[in-house]
Amino acid sequence: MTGYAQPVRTVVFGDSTRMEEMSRRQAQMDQLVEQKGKVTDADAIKAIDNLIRKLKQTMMVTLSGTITFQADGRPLSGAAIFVDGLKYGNNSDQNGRYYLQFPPGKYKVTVRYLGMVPISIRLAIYDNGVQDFEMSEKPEVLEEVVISATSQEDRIKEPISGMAKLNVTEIKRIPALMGEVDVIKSIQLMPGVNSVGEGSAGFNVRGGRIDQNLILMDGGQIFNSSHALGLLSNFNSDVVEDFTLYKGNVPAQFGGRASSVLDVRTRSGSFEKFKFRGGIGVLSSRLAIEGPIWKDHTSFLVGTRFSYSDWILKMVGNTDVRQSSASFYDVNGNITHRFSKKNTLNLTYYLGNDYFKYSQEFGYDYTTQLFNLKWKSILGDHWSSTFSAVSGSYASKLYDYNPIQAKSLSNGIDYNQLKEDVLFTVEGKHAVNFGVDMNYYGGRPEISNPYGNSSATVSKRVEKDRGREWGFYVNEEFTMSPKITISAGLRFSLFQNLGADTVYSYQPGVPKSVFTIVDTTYYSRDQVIQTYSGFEPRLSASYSISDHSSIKMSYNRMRQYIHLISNSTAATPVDIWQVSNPHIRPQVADNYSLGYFRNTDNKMYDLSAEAFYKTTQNLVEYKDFAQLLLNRHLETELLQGQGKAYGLELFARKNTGIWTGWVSYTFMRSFIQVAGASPAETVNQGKWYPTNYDKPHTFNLTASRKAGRTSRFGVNFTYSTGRPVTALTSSYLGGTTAIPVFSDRNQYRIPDYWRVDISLTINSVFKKFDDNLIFSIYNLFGRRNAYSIYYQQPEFSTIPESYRLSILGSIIPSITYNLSF
Amino acid sequence: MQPQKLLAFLLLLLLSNCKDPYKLAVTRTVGRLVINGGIYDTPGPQFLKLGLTPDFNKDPDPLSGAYVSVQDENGNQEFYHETVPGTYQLNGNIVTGRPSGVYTLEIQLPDGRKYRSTPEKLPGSKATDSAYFKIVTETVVKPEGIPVDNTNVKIYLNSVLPSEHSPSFIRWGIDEVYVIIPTCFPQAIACPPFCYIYQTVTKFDLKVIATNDYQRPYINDLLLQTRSVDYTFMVRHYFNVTQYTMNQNAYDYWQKVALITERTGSIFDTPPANVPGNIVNINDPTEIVYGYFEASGTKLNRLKIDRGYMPPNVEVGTCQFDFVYWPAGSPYNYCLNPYAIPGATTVMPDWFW
Repeated sequence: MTGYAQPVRTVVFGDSTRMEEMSRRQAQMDQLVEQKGKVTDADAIKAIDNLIRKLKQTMMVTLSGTITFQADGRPLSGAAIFVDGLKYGNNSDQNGRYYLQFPPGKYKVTVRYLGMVPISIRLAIYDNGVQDFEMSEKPEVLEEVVISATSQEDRIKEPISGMAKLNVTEIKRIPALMGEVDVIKSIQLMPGVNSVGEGSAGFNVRGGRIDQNLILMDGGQIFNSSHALGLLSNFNSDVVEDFTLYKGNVPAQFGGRASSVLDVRTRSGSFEKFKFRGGIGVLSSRLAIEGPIWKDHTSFLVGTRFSYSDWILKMVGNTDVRQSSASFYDVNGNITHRFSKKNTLNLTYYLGNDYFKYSQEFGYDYTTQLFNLKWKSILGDHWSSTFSAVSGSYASKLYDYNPIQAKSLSNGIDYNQLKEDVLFTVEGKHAVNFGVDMNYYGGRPEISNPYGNSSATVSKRVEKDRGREWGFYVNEEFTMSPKITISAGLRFSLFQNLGADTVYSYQPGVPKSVFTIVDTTYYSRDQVIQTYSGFEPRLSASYSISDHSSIKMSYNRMRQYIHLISNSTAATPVDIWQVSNPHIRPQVADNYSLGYFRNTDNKMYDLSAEAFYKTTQNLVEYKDFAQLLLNRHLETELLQGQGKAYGLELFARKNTGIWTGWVSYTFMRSFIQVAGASPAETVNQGKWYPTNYDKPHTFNLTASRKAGRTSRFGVNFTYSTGRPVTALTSSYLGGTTAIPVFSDRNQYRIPDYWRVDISLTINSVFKKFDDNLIFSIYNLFGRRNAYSIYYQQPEFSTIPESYRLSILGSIIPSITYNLSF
Repeated sequence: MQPQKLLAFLLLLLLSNCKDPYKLAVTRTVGRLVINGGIYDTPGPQFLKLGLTPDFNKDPDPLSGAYVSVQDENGNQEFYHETVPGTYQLNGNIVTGRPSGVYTLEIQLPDGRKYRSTPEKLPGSKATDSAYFKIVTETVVKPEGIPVDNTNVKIYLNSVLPSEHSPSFIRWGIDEVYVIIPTCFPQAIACPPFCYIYQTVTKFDLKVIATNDYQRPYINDLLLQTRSVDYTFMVRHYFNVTQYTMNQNAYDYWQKVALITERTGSIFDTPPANVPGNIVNINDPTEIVYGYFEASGTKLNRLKIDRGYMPPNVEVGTCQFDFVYWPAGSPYNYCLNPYAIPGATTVMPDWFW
């Protein structure tokens, strides 16, 4: 259905008389081919081949240009442009530029990009031409039932394996908790991605830890991507443009994490007119305003979300809930100025805060800030440059309200980045990125202070480590032949652990503890304490078996110099980001993947199967009862082991029709081995054991269906094997306390998980507005999925009882009204 | 339903987390030695229990026939003798708990295996405690969303901590004793004797402190236990609040016990792990032994709660014969046969009335 497509216009380049010249050259070529068949001399054949090649070049014309978004002029990367009849096409590069080469003649050329109205032109091309395309947003009511941000052909030829690119239009069809469209929740529906459970921050990719994901917002690192302790992420759907998850091969432009990259890009405001969009929900609302500051030159966009649940909490009868508080807000700001068509300056700002207090027991307050300045410059037909300077921070505070031990504990990390990325493109066949980036990580001191007058605790302060990471990279995507496309890159990373710091030396051959310290060395500010470095090759190749199928394979090595120190089941806001130091070695991961990708002839279905294998050195693990907070000798609580993960991902997507959506199945195993020199440095007798997030089977189904002219129905089903737990196997009495006896680490599993969500989106509620009303039910069957199994001593028994804890274990309905104009 | 109520209901649905009893099929840890007890600076006799972890969900099987002795730093040694299966008594004729004394426990099992504790030093300093209670009625919401009023006894503590330069390590434990006066009818001629129940196992949040974590030499209003009000309060109910002063190794042990027993299943829980004790097999140090032989100074605070303290609207019951339910199914079975309650005895503690 293309009733909303723009009118097809005709564009002419050159004179049709050139066709006569083409006919003459074709005749020459036929002659040369005939001659070639008659000669036997190798030199003569070579000379004829050279002539044929030169002749072919003169018989081709080039169409190039830029594909941009009409509203704000930003270039659209990855837009698909196709020449009908030739079965030939290409994608726009990071600057929105495209390049096509084909014989002169009359064609129909079509440009597509998800969420945009497709553009078609009739092309009469007899000479090289430049044609720019400005795409406009598709009205929601008329949305086309194509659900991929990239075209099917692209996915077949795309050399990077294990890459998932989605945009907000696509994820809006997924039923969402409390009606909030969420980036992180949506990628958890993709194969190879899962989490330890509901209400947990972060996500795990292909058996990797959550700190092994590099989460970027406009290129700046996000250290805690969650709101409401993980129920939502901090990406506002009103300002997010698109996002890409690299879970297989990661281009060399990215570095610093061992598992994946989630690259989220936010929008610029409109350069033409003021716009408003917002949504009102039961517990939170959103508002975004954008428009020109200087028409066609400078635009702004401000988006915010804020919750207002406290007044409802006060109405609840339960004393603990009434004394609780939960709120979050975030603000995204964006100012973009075009100095010319070739130079753009972009300033973005993000501020997100969460406050959570449970009764008189504990509370959290954490804030993320990110400031990003980006200068994009097109230096010529083939060159462009992007310079960015990022400054960010993550600060968290834990409150313990226990009257005697009441205290606040603060920690966090400061982060700065400078990056220069240069892109060199050659006629659509080569795209070379090279550049350098420098990241500075400054751990904020951990500070504990008494909280309130009744507190009897003492103040404590522990300084945290600092470090600087350099990355030098080059990455080329090139088309080796019509069937083979390659992305090859090399990154060299260098990390310096910096003073000021006190470094302890421990007695060799015995477990590290405060009792085995043999020497103490003090390093002054900015003095290099320890340096780590290494190459990180990245290689991925695609071989097209046909127009509809391809095989892809990849290998990459990634190094990680910063670690999230957390020994709870899921990450908590107060977990420490710790840089590598003389005692904590960097994690080094090697990822291998092999996949088969196929589209059906009518492009209705995409199918893929990808297998992967990953090994990781120096995975951080923890001693039993590790004391991680306010610890000057953190290394005495840590262990480092090796990890391995492997699996198979199956994916099928239906792109067109009344029903659209996808199903995915992932078989995945993830293990760790910690075999230290002594029993105290060994876990599970040195055997391999499953990680917290090892879930062998995961199945997801996401589907949506048009319901009437203006409505859409969505359904989501998810299933996964229960995650591993350490189980109670006996108990004994110590004094009058029942003390549990546990199995080896992670030897049992909680029950399997499944859930069904549904949603109904009614567009054009009020005829005058571009609006919609979303009804959604999360956990339709109210299944009490186990989040954890834990053990408690009943009031008058010596035998601990086991309990299943369920969170979000009820039917959760929501209503959200969204409006834009 | 008013809109506000509807919103509140929706929020409750969102926030509600529920816990259900759940049995996980596991292979049990069987036959491992467990010890429970220590040496204290109180007049003897003192008791030590030995057991083996059982193959199903119950208390450890008592371990009989072991040779158990304790030795002090001067080389004095005294043997325990077994009073009931698995319970060993030290009379304290030769070795007694005293400040600065260092004690080592030795055990020889009937099969010949020998175990020894690390030497444990009994600390000298103690805190000065003053315990008190409050009876509080609080509203809680049941899993099905129905609010109910619960009346609890809350035990608090004020304590003046030792002021020595070196840190002191303290924990508190609570046990309860209450009385039930059984109904005379249908044995009206020979009324059964009063029944005293020693409730030595009571769920409470273990409080373990190191004084160097505190900026002041005292702590006030430390909540030790919240105990629901029930029939055990119908006559008289005692709470014995015992202070234990420990050495640093014992403190590390009990702090880990506190961490592992306070788990609530949330994402913030300390990962489960076994608490290492201080007893090792002399011939096989890799054998895992559970429990800790401690040498502690103790101090007792006793709280008496009579029925009269209960608010007028709180029903704690009275033992009366019920013709309808007798003899089985009575809601007051404990009135008919309180002696079946674990810890029941007819021997009145000399401090009770």
